[in-house]
Amino acid sequence: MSGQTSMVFEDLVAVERSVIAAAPMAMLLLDADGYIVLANARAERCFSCSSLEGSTFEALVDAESRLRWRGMAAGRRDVAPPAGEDTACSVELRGLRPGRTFLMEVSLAPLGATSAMTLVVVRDVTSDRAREQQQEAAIRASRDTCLRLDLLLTFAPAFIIEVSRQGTIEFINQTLPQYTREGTIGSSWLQYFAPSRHAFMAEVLEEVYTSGATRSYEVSTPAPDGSVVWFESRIAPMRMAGQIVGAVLVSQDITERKRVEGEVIAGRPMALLGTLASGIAHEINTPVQFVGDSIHFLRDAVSTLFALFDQIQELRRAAIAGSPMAAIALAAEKAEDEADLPFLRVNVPQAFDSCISGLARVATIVRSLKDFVHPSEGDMLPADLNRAIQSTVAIAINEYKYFADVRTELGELPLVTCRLSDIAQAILNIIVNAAHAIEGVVGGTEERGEITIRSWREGEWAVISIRDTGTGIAESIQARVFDPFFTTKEVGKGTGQGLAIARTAVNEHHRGQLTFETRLGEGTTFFIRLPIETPPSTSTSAEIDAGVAAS
Amino acid sequence: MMKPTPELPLPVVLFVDDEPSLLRAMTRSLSRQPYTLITAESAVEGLAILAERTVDIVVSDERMPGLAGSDFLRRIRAAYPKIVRIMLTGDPGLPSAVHAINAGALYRFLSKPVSFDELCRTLRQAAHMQRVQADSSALRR
Repeated sequence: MSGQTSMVFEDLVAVERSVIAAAPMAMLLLDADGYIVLANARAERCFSCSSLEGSTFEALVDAESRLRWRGMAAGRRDVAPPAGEDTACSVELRGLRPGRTFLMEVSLAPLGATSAMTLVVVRDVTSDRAREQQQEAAIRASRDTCLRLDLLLTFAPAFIIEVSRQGTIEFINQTLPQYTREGTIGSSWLQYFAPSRHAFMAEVLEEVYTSGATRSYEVSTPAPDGSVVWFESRIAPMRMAGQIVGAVLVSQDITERKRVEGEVIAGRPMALLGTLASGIAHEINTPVQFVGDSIHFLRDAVSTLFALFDQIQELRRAAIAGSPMAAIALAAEKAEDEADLPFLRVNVPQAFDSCISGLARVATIVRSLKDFVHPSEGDMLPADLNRAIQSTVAIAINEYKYFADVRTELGELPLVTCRLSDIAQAILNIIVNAAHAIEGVVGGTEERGEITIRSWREGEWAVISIRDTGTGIAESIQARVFDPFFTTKEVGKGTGQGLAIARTAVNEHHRGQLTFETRLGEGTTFFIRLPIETPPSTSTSAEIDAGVAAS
Repeated sequence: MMKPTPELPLPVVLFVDDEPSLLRAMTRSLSRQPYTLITAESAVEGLAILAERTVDIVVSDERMPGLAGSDFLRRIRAAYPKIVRIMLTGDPGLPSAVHAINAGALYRFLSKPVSFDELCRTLRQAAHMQRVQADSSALRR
């Protein structure tokens, strides 16, 4: 019986040894004291040492790792694992090679409950670990970048939106006020803008996608609560490998800026007058010039006449005294000659007329200027609209007199409760526009255009119409006529604020209507309708806007 | 009115302005001064006059329908360089006026309303300068 057992044991040992020798990993067999009794070729290569047998495994690890190894090996010896449990365990140690160390994963397995030997499998994991660390670092860096980008997008003081070619919102960095983010993604971007701008926006998007252009524009958005928000936007193509793969839109809320600008402009009623100032200065300086010249002439004329009169007096005295008169008479005749009485008889009255009409012209302009100054904020007083019309015509004369004649057909109007300076300013804006429109038609030719201003009463309304024979307004820009800062004029000839201010004044402050009719090539007529009495405060300007016919 | 002395004809001054009242007033107030005065109500009319007769001094406004004063004076400089060019305008801030001055198209620039004394002094100096220039070019021949 014992002979069989020892033979089996020897066979097993032989098998063990061949298995270890052939194993494709570094393997070592340790005795109960930790000495290496067997090492395979790979183990020798792993530790770059060909005579591992006989040394302790401990000698193959660095000082720090030895403690851990000892602890583990002791634990394995003393505590037998419960039956059936996985008896292997592994630990990471620093192995020693001649000249350097390396990271290795060491797995231990006791050969059996009865054997005191331990199988050790070593795996060089240096490059593994290095790669793992790199990956972890990359993941960390990527996470940091994501976090940072997320912060940037969330706190950017602007909307950053990706818009697809079809106009759907693919990404938005912040929720639009009063909308939810979920509701926004996938929705059409157009629904956030005033309908009058849809065609323009679609055109802009198409341009970005087809020609890769970057476009800037301003647009207003009606918020769900009825207020209006203004944005300044830039939209540009996004490219990957040279291809346009999307469009990125950056929008800033400029509502506050617009409001402040609007207030600043509305609070500067003289702004338009400023641009007319040089024309007005000319209209005042010219009469002052010829009034001065005329007075000079009259003073000369009068002293000439006094001189002549002196001669006549001499003559009279001589005649009464009976003295010889011949010399005096001759002197008087000479003086009369020099005075050139025929010349004076014609020109003196003319000079007086010049003075009177010149001063009247100046007085008219100065008086008209007063109608443009705010007496006080917010006072609506009964006023004479026809006077506002006449003041405006006088003030604006230099703008139109070279191109157009102004005809007024003013009807009977009762006093209308209003702020006359606002209305005069609105009329002035319209007249100046009319003059420029006419200049566009007749400028450079001998022809003249016509501006016709009518006023009449229609029941509870006072109506003023201003018709010009100018270029007319093209259909494509009719919707923008009242937009603040929209202008078709060249730099220096108007900033586009006039009609916007006029509309605010008429429609909102006065509860009236400012509208126009136009035909390209024929001209434009603006209508100002004002309630004669301020209507009761129950009607809102929105209701009045809804009733506006053309705009 | 003063009669011209036989040796020296009176300098001819052309006033150009679209305001007839101003032209009449100028003519009146300068009637006793030693000049022959002509007027024109536009640059075009002025150019027509210059083509017909000799003019020594031109005084022009800037703001006129059709050709502006600065353009008018520039043309005179090109076509009749001996004429002394003066601008009399109610609006000296106008860019075109400033440009005309800077471009050297003007002998003098007067701002409305100009006082009678300053106008007379300017005309006197202009006439004098014109005579001196005419004499020196005559000497050079």
